[in-house]
Amino acid sequence: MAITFLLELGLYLVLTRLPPQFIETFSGAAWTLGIIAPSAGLLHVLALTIGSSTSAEEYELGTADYWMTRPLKRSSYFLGKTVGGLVLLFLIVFTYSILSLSVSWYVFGPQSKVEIFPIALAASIASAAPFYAIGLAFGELLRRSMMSTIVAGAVFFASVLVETYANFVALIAGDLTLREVVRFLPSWASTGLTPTILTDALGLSLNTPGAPFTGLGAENLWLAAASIFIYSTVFFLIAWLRFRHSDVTRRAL
Amino acid sequence: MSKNPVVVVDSFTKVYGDGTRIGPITLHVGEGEVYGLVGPNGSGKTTTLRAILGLLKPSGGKVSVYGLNPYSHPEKVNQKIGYSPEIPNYPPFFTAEKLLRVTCNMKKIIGKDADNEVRRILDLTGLVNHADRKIGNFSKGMVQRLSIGQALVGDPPLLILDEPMLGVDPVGRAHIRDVLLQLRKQGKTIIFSSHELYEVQRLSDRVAMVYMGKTVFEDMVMNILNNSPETKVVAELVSEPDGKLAKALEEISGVLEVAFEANKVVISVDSSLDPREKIAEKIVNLGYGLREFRISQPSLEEVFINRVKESVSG
Repeated sequence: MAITFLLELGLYLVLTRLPPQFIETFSGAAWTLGIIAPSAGLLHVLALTIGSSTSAEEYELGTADYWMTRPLKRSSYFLGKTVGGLVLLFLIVFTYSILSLSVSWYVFGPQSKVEIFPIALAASIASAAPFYAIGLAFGELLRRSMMSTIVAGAVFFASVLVETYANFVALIAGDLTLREVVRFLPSWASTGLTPTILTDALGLSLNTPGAPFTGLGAENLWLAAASIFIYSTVFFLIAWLRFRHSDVTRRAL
Repeated sequence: MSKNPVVVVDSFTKVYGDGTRIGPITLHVGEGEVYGLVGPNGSGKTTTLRAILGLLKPSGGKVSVYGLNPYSHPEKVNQKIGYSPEIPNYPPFFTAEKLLRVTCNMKKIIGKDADNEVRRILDLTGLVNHADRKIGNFSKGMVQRLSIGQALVGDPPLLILDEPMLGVDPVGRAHIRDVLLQLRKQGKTIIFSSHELYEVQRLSDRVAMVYMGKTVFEDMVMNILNNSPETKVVAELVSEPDGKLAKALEEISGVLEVAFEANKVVISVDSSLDPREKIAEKIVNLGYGLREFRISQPSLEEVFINRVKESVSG
């Protein structure tokens, strides 16, 4: 979380050091940069870390025993833990988004397009959902928070690397098939949704073929939404099935 | 078992991922019984208790609590159970009172009722003066007492206590024993596992002995001790015993072994045949004179150790 805030402050510090003519073009919407930047990677690392520790830590600490021997439906416990993690994620996103808005306002003056702030928030949360679910699933499968964070993190970075490499090859070779293939990767929609929605709302286009984290193109928004929905649902389901049909393990002594 | 069955574990087995197999374990706990589960580490006590709590799915056999399968209906079963784990782990930043309030809340005890319940539990466990202390700063004995306390929230009819005396100093142990005796008087059904066989003998009505994942025996404590081969008849004589007396006693059906210790005759007997009367009669008739005649019962620990030795030697 501290890293997220440092990223935000660092970003705006760098922006104030850039030549004024460079800043002028978007200084009225500088607040969006503070929301787009974490969605490139940090947000997803945070999401998978929270997801991994949401349930795994209960097993590690042995507190799962306490909760699971209360008159509580298993579904209520699972839902409570899942929603709790999402609420924490929302609070982080909300805090850094407010920070972006207020710092931008303070540094660059009145900001425009503030009415899309709720959409930006919603897009950030939605785009973080797949890796939150992946973290949750590995947390349930491995029941060790550090291990599941590493595995879920490996999935994220592998996905980003493959996406970048495939886009790069597609750009050089002019092979559009590769750009189609990357759409099946979990990072494609996750890292691209927020920048796409924000740049589209601002009437900008960051969609540079082959460059990661620059948007998916407005025409792909529905596909991105579907990808996010499918990845999130599949991994939430894996987590639920593993939780529902396996023993409550004790803390490693 | 004549009382209404509360917990029935019938040929329960559990096979873990690494191939470790526990079971078959069979035990029956009736209403109002205090049931001791004894056995060495890794024998399957905790696994059995966790199956009763619905925390793990049996690989075979049947487990039922109040007629319900605890794995399929954990929320209904846990409404009637208070559980204290072997190693209690509670959020260390919670105070004792906070933990009890959260537990009350989960049992839908709220408002004034929750205040009274928290007060009652703190009184019962002797933690009134530590209500505002964080659990992370508690001693092991205090955590155990708090753990038993949270199990008592809502006054559940069935208590499952896994090693409630583990790591507790003698004073704390005495306190826990008093609490358990109070609960026993109240007619609670209690299942507890322990290595402290003296405590088990003192507190339990019925005992199951688990060894190498299997039930070695299950019976009323009194039956186990009375019918044990370790049960001996000790007769103190007026005159010194000799070989003639030994021979005469060995002829009695139910006499297994005769030994002399100065003026005493120590006779191992088969309790099911109860040869006490015939022994006394023979001693008197042969003119040795009887000063004292008593039954020497073994402790549960002696019985347990001998059963383990028998199991090991096959």
